[in-house]
Amino acid sequence: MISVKGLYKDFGENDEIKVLKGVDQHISRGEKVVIVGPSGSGKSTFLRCLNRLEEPSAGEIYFDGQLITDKKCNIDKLRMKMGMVFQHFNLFPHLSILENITLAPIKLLKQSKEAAEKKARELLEIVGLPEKANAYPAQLSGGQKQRIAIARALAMNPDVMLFDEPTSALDPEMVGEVLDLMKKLADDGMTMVIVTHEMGFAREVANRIIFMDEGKVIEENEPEEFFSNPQNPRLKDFLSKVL
Amino acid sequence: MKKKNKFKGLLTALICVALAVLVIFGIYFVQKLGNKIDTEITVADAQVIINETVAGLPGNVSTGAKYVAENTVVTVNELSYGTEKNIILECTYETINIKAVIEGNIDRYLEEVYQFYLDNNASGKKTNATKIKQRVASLVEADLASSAPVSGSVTVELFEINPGEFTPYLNYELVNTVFGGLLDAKEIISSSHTVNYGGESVDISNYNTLRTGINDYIALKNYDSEKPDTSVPIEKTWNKLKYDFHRNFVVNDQYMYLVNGLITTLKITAFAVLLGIAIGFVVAVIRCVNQKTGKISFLSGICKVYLAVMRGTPIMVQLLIMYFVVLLPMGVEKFTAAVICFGLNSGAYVSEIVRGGIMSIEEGQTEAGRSLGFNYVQTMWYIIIPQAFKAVLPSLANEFITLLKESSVAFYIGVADLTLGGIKIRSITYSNFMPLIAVALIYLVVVLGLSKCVSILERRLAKSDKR
Repeated sequence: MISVKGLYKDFGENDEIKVLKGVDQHISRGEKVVIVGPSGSGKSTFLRCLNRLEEPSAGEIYFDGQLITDKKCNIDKLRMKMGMVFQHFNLFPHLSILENITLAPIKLLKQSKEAAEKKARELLEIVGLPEKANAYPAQLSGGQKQRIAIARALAMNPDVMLFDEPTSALDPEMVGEVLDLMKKLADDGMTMVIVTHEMGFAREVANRIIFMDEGKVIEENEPEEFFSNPQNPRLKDFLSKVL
Repeated sequence: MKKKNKFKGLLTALICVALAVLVIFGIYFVQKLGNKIDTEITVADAQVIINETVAGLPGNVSTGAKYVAENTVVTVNELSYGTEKNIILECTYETINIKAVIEGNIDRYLEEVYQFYLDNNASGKKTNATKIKQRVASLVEADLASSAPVSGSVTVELFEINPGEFTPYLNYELVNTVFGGLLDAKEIISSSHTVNYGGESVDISNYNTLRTGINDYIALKNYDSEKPDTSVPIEKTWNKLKYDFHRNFVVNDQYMYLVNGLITTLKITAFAVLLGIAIGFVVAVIRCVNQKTGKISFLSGICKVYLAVMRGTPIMVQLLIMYFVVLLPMGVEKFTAAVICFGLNSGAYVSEIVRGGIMSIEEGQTEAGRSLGFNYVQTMWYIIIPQAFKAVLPSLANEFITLLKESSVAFYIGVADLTLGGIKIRSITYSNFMPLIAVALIYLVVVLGLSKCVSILERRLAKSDKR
């Protein structure tokens, strides 16, 4: 579904900061891929390259067989099929919860207001916040905001969901509610790429865990093997610190 | 060692200053001495000075003033030098004593004027001050022509006010004689505008035209006899203010100049701000897009030039150029021209405000919008600009206030705004205090009111952001 070939990403005036140094990956439909690694390892950048929120410096990314790193590719069209959830939620503060969810379907998918709102209320039911339809983002807790952000992404009926550290900005007691929702989503068969520090969640949900360090994928494996039998000393060291 | 040098330097400087002062004084004294010698004049010279002075006396002081020039003959008999660098002239004069003539016939004039007023009323005609004035003037003229001249002697002193230039100083006696008291009358008259006669108060309307001439004298006469103003100075000032207010705003509904002016000012400002906001948002978005993506640098360049010009030249100059150079040849109206000019000017400032507002919206909002599939323009329109607009709303309101004040230069191209309203009243009544202070007060009240609204708005917006 998503293929990444030789992905490089440099930052800085003269591209002196090399964040991604050649990443090759393939993510299949229905797969749940969790990316872990120390901070600065490039995992968020990798995720953001997948829908070109970051322009890759070199390499190719295919989505459903389409080369999305091509300049001529209509990235906006493809992004509609790739939901994204951010660390800081990024809800639209000037819109009510319902409007947050229905804005894109109405404007981009040309859904009628009624249809979009009906769908939005179903999604609010799924994320467990049906009573918040007319509230504003400022009135919600962090966990609630993130669940709304997930609902907003789901409203576009995406083929894949990208999660960029969705629980890192949350108070510990709110992490659970968001992870539960993501599990529910995973159980429904959604393709998911998740950057997270929640190892328990990774072990439970992932089909595959990728360990990144210094801009490269160092090791990848099924969860059981990944945690019980790490090969690379760098990963061993990392796991000994986080587990 | 150093200290000594410093002291020496100071001393030298002091001596130099003292010398300079001495030299200047020396030159001054020598000059004065020279002047004294130069200005020794003869009786004939003095006569010329007197004649010039009498002829140069302001012709508009009164209708009667022409009699001064025509009928008064001043002859200088003796010339002597006084002790205060002055020249003393013993003169005889022959004149018609206007004061005496008018005083002798005042009752008849009043009767005639009153009859005239009644006749006009009876036949449904309007009696205005000019007609009364003409009426009385013709009566007085006839009397003056047939009355015998009076003569006497006066002392005139010539004082040297500017070097080499003598100014005759006419003492009180002469003034009174020559002008029949009319100069004084002019001073006192300015607080009455009715003629009381036969127990009835006759309003000689439009007092403005009554400020000079024989009518003044008649009014004065009545003023003195009917209602001597014995009030204390503070009351007099209060009465004068009341009267000034009446004269500037109430008479002929002159306050409507201010009302209409204010409406025009508010209209110009409102339209200009709308135009400014439209331009400002477009420019701000263009510059933000350019800054973020590096695209459309040509458009951004045009915007930069526009900003530099609008913010780098005075609004007055912009207005003059915009109207007289650009829009007038195109046949655009003044009002529209003012709106366009102020709108363009305001757009430059609004765009910077809005750019700040757009910059203040965190990057995550753009990313969230883009990740949903909105393109850059859609993200701007649906997500960033509504938030930016809310963030900059108080600043925009302040821009409105600034523009309201700046729009006062519109009078320069003849737009009848509030400022021009004040100027118009001023040109009718010749008073400065009332119309100008009134204009300032109206601006102040409107601006303070709007500022209050802005602060309420700010508080409201802050509230909606809270939990």
